[in-house]
Amino acid sequence: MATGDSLREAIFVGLMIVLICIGAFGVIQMHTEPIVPIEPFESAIGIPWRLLVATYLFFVLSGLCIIASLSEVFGIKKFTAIADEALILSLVTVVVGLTVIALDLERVERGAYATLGHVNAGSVMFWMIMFYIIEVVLLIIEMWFHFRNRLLKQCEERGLRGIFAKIVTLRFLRLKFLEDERLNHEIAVVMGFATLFTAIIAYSNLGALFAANYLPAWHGPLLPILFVVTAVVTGSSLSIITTVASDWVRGDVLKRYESLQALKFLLGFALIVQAFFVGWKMLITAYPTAGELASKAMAAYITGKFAFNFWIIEVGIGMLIPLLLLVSPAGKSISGILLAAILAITGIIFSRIDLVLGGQVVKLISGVNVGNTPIHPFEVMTAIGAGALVVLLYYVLYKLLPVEVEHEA
Amino acid sequence: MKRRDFLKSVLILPGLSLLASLGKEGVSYAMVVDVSKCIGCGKCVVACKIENDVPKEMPISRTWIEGYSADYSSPYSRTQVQKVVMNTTENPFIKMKWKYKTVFYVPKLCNQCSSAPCVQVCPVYARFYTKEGVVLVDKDSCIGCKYCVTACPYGATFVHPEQKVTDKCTFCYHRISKGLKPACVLVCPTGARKFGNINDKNSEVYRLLKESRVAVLKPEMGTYPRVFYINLDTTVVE
Repeated sequence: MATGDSLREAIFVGLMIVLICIGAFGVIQMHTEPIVPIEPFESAIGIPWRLLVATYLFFVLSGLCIIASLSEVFGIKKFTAIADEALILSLVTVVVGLTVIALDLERVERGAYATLGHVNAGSVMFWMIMFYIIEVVLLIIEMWFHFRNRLLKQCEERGLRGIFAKIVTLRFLRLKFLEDERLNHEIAVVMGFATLFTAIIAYSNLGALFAANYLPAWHGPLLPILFVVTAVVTGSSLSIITTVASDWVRGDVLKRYESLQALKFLLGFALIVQAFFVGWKMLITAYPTAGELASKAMAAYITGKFAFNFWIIEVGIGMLIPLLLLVSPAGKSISGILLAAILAITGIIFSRIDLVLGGQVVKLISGVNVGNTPIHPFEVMTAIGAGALVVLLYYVLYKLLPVEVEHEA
Repeated sequence: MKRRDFLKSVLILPGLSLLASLGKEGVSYAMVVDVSKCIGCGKCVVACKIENDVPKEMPISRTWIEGYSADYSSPYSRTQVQKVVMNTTENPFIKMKWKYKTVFYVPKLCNQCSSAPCVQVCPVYARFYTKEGVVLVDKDSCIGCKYCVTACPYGATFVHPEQKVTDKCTFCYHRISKGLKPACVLVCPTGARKFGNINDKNSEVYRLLKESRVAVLKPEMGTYPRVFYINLDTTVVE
């Protein structure tokens, strides 16, 4: 590897570590306030779920295991070239997402104890934790079988990759029956289906966690469906971004043009479905017969505090412009697809923030709950740190695992 | 099992349970608040904060008072309402210049719902009912996920900034289990808050519930509160 590349990589890794340290500082400040006295989070009373919950939503609704399953489970060849990366990023985003939500707990040290038995099986939140833990376990097993054939070959390599492959494949156990390439692939397909199934349940269950709440902006049966649809938007956008980025780093941007075109169609379709559900959810909730509370809740998005975020960023930047880009001649170029994906992801990030914060603004109780929505700087630092952790973990796994991008359809 | 046996068991079992419950008095606690008697002095808020170790200066409280000033119009949507909340030890009502002529105060607290959303959503059973129907918080189990805070339709639960767990009114369970009154009831100078066992025909709450026209907050939520209001203007109070 050229010295210039090593230097670039070192700078990149260093930058990510700095950002993670900033995030860690934010977390420590949130929970202990050891260095400077800060306004405690409880100052935003009435908005108990805030930026970290939105960050969690963004990561755990990444939808990347849906993208990976398109080739792994359903055998769509055009997605084969991006399946490896989608699987790795899927695992990383869910793990970091769960870490973020654990850090948002006031008493994080009790989280592990709570999962050991003292649980309320009637709570949607309990099932949210269970489904995501099952998803992570299934995803790890799926990845183990998915990469196993190539990892066995990688065992012959010298250096860190070789050692990593030897440890991960459990070669020292001499599991001969697991060296059958076809069997490994078949098990990966079955596990891929199980992961996909669990992931969709987890996404919709997470939607139910909000939708089962009495808050009118959240309440209703459309939110679980919307969560699954937006997961597809997030997954296809992130897949486009990571594919273009890794191909750009390798110096061959046109390598996976066909896969990008397939992702483009998936993104465009998911955006249309998303617009459909967002539109109807808004209209039904804002309709006078839905009640005064519901109308006021929607007013926060239509003309109120979140109107700019909703109309300009979520609808304009997040849905309309990407759709126009994808259907226009610009959608044939990689830069056009990339721009559409970046805009769609921007819209999704804001939609998560608006859903979490905006849903709680109109509680219409002026008792102990005050409808202010400040985003604390330490929350922002934590969210940035979480983003950097995703990038760094993805980079490390990408380096260690035998990722293949050559098998273009 | 034959259809006849099945039908017998279906019909007999509920009947037996009903018979078993007859004659059992039990204790079922409730609070009755007479809005017309509340003068907004805020003694209940201060007493509650001291009794239950809630930070005095922070705008969080197990019980709070909402002051309303209203200018009634028809249709109701044109009614103008000004609302001020007392949830610290500082009383904003003393120097308050209300916009409208009609002024009244509504003390609020956890409604100790018989079908409590906070109990339903808690993932770790940190919220539970006592046999007297009071909803309590198990502070040793609470993980601070704050789902109960978003789930409570009354805004009656909050995160305790020092204990880092959720907190709410418990009807001063540590007091009532010893036969004492809740702190807010004890200090109320006008007797606006009454507390007792609604199964006890000699209790004041039983008499008030029998004799008065009472209302609960947000009945449409189906939470079946144990806090009842007399003379509550349900068109103004949220």
